[in-house]
Amino acid sequence: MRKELQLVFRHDGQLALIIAAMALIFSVVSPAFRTTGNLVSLMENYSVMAMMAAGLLVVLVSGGIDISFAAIAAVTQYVVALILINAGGNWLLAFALAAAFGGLLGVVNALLIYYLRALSVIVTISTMTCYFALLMFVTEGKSLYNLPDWFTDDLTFWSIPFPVLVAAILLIITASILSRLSIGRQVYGLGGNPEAAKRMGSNVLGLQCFVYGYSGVMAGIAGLVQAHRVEEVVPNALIGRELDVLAAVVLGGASLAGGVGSVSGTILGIVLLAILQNGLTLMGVSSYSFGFVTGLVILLSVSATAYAAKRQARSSARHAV
Amino acid sequence: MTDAVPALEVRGLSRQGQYAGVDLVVRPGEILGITGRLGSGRTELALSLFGMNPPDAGEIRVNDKAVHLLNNRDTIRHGIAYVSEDRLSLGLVMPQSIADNTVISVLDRLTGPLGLIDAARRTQTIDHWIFQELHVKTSTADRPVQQLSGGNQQRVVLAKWLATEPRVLILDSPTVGVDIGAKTGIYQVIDALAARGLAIILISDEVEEVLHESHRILVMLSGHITATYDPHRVSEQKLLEAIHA
Repeated sequence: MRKELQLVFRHDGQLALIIAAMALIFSVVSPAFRTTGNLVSLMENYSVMAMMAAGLLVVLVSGGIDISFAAIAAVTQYVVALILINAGGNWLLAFALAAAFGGLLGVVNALLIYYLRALSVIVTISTMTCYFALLMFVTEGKSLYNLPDWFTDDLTFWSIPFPVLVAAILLIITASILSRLSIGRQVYGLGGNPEAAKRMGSNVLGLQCFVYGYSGVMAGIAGLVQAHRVEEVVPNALIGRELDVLAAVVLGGASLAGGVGSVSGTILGIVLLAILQNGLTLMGVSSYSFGFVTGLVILLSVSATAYAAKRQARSSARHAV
Repeated sequence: MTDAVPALEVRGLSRQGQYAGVDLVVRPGEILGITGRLGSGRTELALSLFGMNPPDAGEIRVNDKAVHLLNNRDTIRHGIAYVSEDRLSLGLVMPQSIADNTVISVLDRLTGPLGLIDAARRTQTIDHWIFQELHVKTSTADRPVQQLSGGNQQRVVLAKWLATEPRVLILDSPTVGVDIGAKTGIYQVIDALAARGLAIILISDEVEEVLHESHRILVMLSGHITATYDPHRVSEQKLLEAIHA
């Protein structure tokens, strides 16, 4: 574990340095960047993304990928909001509903991937399209504005905004699952070598239901908190964030090949993207430049994964001789 | 030794197109060699004994109780472990640490309150199997397993399976791709395990290996057990003839 940690820390350390350098540059160039107000709103803005990233991280570690989480967040947000508007409720019920519904949609992904033996990227792109299209079809794209007051009222705990607190709790839970729970260690095993995991008696269907279900739960809660933040439910508001979240998680050191990734890295990945996006916006640079960066990060990660796989294949071929 | 209750007993085990009418018995402390050419059905038989290749007919008894091995998880619970021939692709998670590779088989036995893994018991398990029992040559169990030599990697695979505390250990070609010095080390480990009462099935197509290591040798040919030998009373030549008959 220590060596592994060293590796993580080295990656995390590099990221932290880059973040510090960027923060310094933006602070000098743009006085608006270094205001407390900006930094607090930055954290609040990205807390929803962090929740989705926590779920995606677990899926990536297992060796799969989930593209449908933003669609799951959108559908869950809408369904839960409808229930709360029509039947009333409280925060506890809201969280339970969001987690249950999001988790259910995630488990659908897992079942499709397992029983069709299909690539997770194809399955989750398909379910993303289905979930979102169905949402737009049924709701005719209508937004919901009449959310209950208790739901939209600003909440702070010890002066921490509610969305930031929820994100922090979910990240801590995710870190504990991945590092300290049997199921978390099995997820690393599954992502690192699926065949070996099967031989060891890991329940692959169970693990896949867990990881995609977990991603769904995180997405559902993210959708809920997003609705609380913006005080409305706009069906297509969350769509299009998938690749930003993916970029943050792979920047944080998770491998698209599975078996590798950490919550600490993911947090740094989000912070890096947040500062970059915010700094560029404050400097008046077009938001398209940010899209370019996101795409580039994913492309580089895919290349690095492919290159490592190629090198590994070559070295194991040498071993065999 | 012949009086002991068999750790594993197989009667009339068959699977269409792979093997037929297989009878075998292995007792605690015994090393049963099974040899045969590639395609003789030896690996298919081993997979059936590990619950990954369900037989069509016959009976499997573990510790004198008939068992129905539904899958490998079930089989592991019955105390049967299977170290496959291809340890690189089927045995280890190469980039992960020796420690993680060792405990992955027994995570559920290391959990304490709230299902959290007990760090002290984890370390204890790793120390016991990696250092005390299998003497893996490494300064720390935190190194990625891919940095080890072939022989030491094989030891980690063994450690991982032994941690499940099996009563039957099936070894499929345990020394393939291991250099001669390391082979001797692995034989010592196998002998020590048998001496402690583990029942071992050693599958190998290296005649010298089965002759040297087994207490009894079964020859498998086209899916049938065609001969049984006492290794002290059979020549290498005769065994080779039986394998290639």
